[in-house]
Amino acid sequence: MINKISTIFKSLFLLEILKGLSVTGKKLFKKPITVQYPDEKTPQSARFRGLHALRRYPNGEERCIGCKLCEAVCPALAISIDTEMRTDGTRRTTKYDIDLFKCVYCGFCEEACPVDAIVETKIFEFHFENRNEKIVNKFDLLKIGDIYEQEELKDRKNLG
Amino acid sequence: MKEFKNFTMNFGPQHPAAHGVLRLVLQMDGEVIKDADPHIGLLHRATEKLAESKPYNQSIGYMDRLDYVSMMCNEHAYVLAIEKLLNIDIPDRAKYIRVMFDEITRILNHLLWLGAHALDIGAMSVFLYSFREREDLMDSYEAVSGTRMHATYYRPGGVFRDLPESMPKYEKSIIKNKDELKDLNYNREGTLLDFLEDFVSRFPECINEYENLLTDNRIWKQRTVGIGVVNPERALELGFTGPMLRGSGIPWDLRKKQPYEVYNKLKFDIPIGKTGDSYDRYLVRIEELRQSNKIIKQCIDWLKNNPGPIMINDAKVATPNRENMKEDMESLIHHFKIFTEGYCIPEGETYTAIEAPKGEFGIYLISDGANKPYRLKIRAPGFPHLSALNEMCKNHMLSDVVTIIGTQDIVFGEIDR
Amino acid sequence: MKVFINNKEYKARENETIIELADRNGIKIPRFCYHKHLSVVASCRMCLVEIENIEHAQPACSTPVQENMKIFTHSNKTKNAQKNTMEFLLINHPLDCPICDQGGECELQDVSIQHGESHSNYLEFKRVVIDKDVGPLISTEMTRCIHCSRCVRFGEEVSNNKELGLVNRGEHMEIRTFIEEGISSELSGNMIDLCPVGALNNKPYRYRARTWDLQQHGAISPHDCIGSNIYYHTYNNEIVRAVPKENHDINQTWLSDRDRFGYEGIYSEDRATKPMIRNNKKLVECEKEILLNKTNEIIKSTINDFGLDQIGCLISAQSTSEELFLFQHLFKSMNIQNIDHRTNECDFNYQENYPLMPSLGCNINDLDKFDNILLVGVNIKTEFPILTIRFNEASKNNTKIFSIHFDSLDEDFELAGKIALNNSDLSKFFDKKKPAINTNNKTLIIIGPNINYLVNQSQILDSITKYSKSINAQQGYLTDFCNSTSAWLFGNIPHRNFGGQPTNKPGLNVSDMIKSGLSTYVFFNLEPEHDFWNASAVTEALNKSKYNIFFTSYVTPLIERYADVIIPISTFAETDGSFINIEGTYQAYNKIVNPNKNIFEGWSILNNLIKMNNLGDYNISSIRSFLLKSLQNIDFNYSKNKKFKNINSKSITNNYIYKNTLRHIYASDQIVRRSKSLNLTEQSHNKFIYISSDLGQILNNKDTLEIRENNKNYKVKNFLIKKELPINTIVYTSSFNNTLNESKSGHITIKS
Repeated sequence: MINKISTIFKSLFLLEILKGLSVTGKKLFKKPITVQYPDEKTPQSARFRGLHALRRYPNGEERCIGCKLCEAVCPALAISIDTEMRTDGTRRTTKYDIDLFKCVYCGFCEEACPVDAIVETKIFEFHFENRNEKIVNKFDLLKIGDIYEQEELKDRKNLG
Repeated sequence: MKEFKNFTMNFGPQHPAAHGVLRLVLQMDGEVIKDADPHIGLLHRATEKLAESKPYNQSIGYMDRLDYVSMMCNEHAYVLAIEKLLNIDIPDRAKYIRVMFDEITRILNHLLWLGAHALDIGAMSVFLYSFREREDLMDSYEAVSGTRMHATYYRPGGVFRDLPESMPKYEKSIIKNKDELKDLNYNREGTLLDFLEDFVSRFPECINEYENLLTDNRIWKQRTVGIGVVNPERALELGFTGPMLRGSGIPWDLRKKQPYEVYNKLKFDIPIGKTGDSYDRYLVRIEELRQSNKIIKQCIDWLKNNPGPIMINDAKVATPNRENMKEDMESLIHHFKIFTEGYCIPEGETYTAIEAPKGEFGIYLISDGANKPYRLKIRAPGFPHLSALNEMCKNHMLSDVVTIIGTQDIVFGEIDR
Repeated sequence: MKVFINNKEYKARENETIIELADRNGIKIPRFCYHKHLSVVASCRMCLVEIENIEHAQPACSTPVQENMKIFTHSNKTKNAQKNTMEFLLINHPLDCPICDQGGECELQDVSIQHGESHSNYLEFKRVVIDKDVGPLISTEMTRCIHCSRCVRFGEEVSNNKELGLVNRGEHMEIRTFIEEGISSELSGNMIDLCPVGALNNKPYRYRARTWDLQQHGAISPHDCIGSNIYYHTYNNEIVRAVPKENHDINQTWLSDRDRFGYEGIYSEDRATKPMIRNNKKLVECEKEILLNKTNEIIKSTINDFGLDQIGCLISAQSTSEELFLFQHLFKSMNIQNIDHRTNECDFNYQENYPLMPSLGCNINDLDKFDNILLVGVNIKTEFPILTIRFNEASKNNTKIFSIHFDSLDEDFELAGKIALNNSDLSKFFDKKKPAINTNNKTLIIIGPNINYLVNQSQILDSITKYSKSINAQQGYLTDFCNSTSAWLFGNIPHRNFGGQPTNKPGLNVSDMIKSGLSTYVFFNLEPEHDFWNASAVTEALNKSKYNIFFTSYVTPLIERYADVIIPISTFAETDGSFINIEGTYQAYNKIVNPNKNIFEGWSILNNLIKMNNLGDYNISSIRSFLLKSLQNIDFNYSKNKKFKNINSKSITNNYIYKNTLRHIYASDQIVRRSKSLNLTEQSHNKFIYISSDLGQILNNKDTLEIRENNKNYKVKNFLIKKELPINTIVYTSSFNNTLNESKSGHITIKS
């Protein structure tokens, strides 16, 4: 009997609706949690796997030795490499293309690289205006690496 | 008067309530559904066949993309299957990390489900609140693996990296001043575990908020109570698992019934429903949020006190560590071979299942001794659930279809795979 | 004999080693130095296995089995032994996997993964060995060497050409050439295959691709008539290397350098890449339809305007069987009889007596079953290098091998006797003097391609045939091209039809076709510069003729100048094909790489012409099934049943001076001639003109030799005097040397 009365009372005075409204009402007076991108950004982990880059040694020599481990391990077959013997007898790539549409950003290439040449940087805001730009070649990758080298060194220290 | 036959209506595949790419062909008698015929396959990516052409490790990333709201759970089933065939035992710390992230994934999944389900039915704000909490968990995903969704973090033999020592912080910008930044970063000063501990302590209050908004709400009840009732016997017959089965009152949970990793060392309860309708399933999932929270807390405590290896020390399966690889011939050879050919698994077959947020997610793996699976079959929990859609929808109104799709927690990545 | 391996019983043969028994039964034992075709040294210690009642693990490669021996290949003792060996082997191995071409197919990697430890306890510096340049075919990285000595033993035992050796001891041990020189063996490429690590590698292939990128295509080598089985590895539709395909009956596990590196010629710059026809004295590119119509029109108008006998059809015996069949089918169906493939020859009187097809007279495997082998006019070392291995085996098996030649040449196996005779003496030798062999024994006489080029070949063949019949010896041939057998068999000869069927009206042979100046010539796969007995006569004929149709893979200057139609056709690699080797084995293979858009497969373009003339319609499988079916009905005893015709050859007198050609090993066919790497080898630099010492005396120390041939005068410089040459002889290498290229053999006079 008491139960029934309380149910009628509750439903008559919209108690549970008011309870819900109190939740939303309280939020009116709280600081908004919205992050105003692009003026501010959410924190990004040092382990972040974004756009690829090819690194160089401090003396300017490219790190990549064309061992093709990244190409072999790439599950999406996004990397294609051609190699040859450079005039100084070292093994170098003549072609290093990454198809960014195929890439699944799994990070295996970075993991496989025995000389830390290919890395996935924290860059995630990249875009293309033409479809064919999805393939980044060796030249572009090295350039990204040049620009991003200092950041990358910092991130490498913070991996742990 | 002219007699009208049933009216056929197409629902989806571009309907926002169709959770991706479900196409339903509904036979309507007025506004009452007489027959619902789900069409699948629009998201088919041949994951099972693809896995047959790749060394074992290379398919881990594809597992993330099956049920793309419970990523690490899918990986977990896959790596467990491989470990079972390899007959290896992984370090305890890796087990705890895996369990912790499984439960984080469960919360992620249920939060998305809760928000989207409420949104489908008509409640807007729950979605915003649940995504606020998801953000923190996504950050911990990113901190540990480097991506917010498709982690590729679990590896046969353990996990790829140990938990990070520091959390990334908000940085100074033109919007936020120093004090505001300090407030934002208050829980990011310590390690990932500290960050999660803070989350775990806040989260029960958040669940209360969701419940305040929904549980007693009359519209919510009107839309869910008595909708899509499945009785326990029928639920078993239909092959339901997870919250769908427990909502009907059957206490079945692989974490309890066939404990894997360290679940037998953890304290948690299995919630079950009574009536088997959408409302009970909602209650079950809300309770699972609380239970998962409890499990995460236990894992954090253990992990804080027990540092150790996170990968087995066996270079035949796990990649050797990078420093060794650069100066040790054996390590280099193993590194080279694992990344090019992978490892071979002894002949055999296994069915390994885990309790994914949506139910039993199983991997049936046959190895013929090579470095690629001979056959990989994925048992996705959503598939049997979807096949019961017709039965659950029959004689309900059109608007209830949305509730039933929602309550089934369907994701097409795993159904179409 | 009962032997137990891992507690399972196996039947062993007498004197068998453990590893042989295990290999026979599919039990895996790791090894580096052991190889089934090489002697056992047991130096790598990788194959250690536990044997019951013996305290230490024993090397499986050198331990013979004994009755009731109990061997354990997976016990802890064995595993420990393997792990320790592996660790020692890797101590000095450089961390080269990422840049090493062997990576992925490296035995060291495989064994390390399967049997080795996963980390090393060794922390000292690694040893470094300085590299040597051993030539254009093999790249070396001797720091990687694990001293298994397979390459050394290969040189000592198989190719019988000792060039590599182990120097120094202990940590300073290294493998190197004895003198600072390159490796010059014709079989050197096999060391690449034998090397279990990346120490000896394929130089042209260096850094081009990874093993897992490659696609493997089984094929037959087109560079000699042995028909070695070969795997071509392709990367992005390009052949990047070749490795042997094991065939116990033909090449075993070996391959000659010519077969291994010859493919490079396919990627020569002078490939014919577009169809062309001559329009207003200029070659212009055209569509396939126009090309075919023009070709057909030329053939038709020649037949109508000048008659059937005014068209000459020449095909190279390097073409595939399919092409050879379709070629003769196309023209013989039109009643054209002027078909020939023997472009390097000049004396055709022998042709009626010639057997149905050239044949070695025995299986390659049976060479060591003969007591005597007479090699007439053949230098195995430079012409059929792969046979060196077989003759080496035979000579070790007490077969006496004699060489009879117009030059004195070295072989890499032991010769029981060597004699150099000039052309006239060669024919007389078998008639009168006769070789000093025990005629009661089993004897094989092998006639090489250099005899075919001689002006008096009929006479020589005749005398040899008579001689071999008289002593009841087996008579065999070795031919210059890979498919001469098919060419004879399928009727690419003027005097016989398909399958040796006699013809009513024999056509002209090559020599006559060229001399008589026909109005139309059809060349298939032939280079007028190098593939003819007399290059200048061909040039003249091309100049005089009305039309010249070239089916060709390469555009040479002469083709460019005289062709009216250039039909670019595939090389052997770009078409499905088959060859019949000198044993008579029919071997087919499938297309290895796809040709360029405008290059046509030889058989298909011939089939187009056949279809246009309503003479049938074929595809590869229908040709093959037709050929195989008709081979069953062919009477292979053809020549035995035939009456022997007497030969009227040109009379040879002692007063002539003979000029003879030696085929150069890396100029033997048009593809090999264009192989970049082979052209860099030591052999390729070895181009010479030798004159006999009696001619040298006439010269009186002049450095110019003025000769007269066919009423033309030439001056020859840069010659050397070779004492071993028979009197009145000049010998020079073909193809490289244009000064003497008037004809490949001939009678000359010297102005002194």
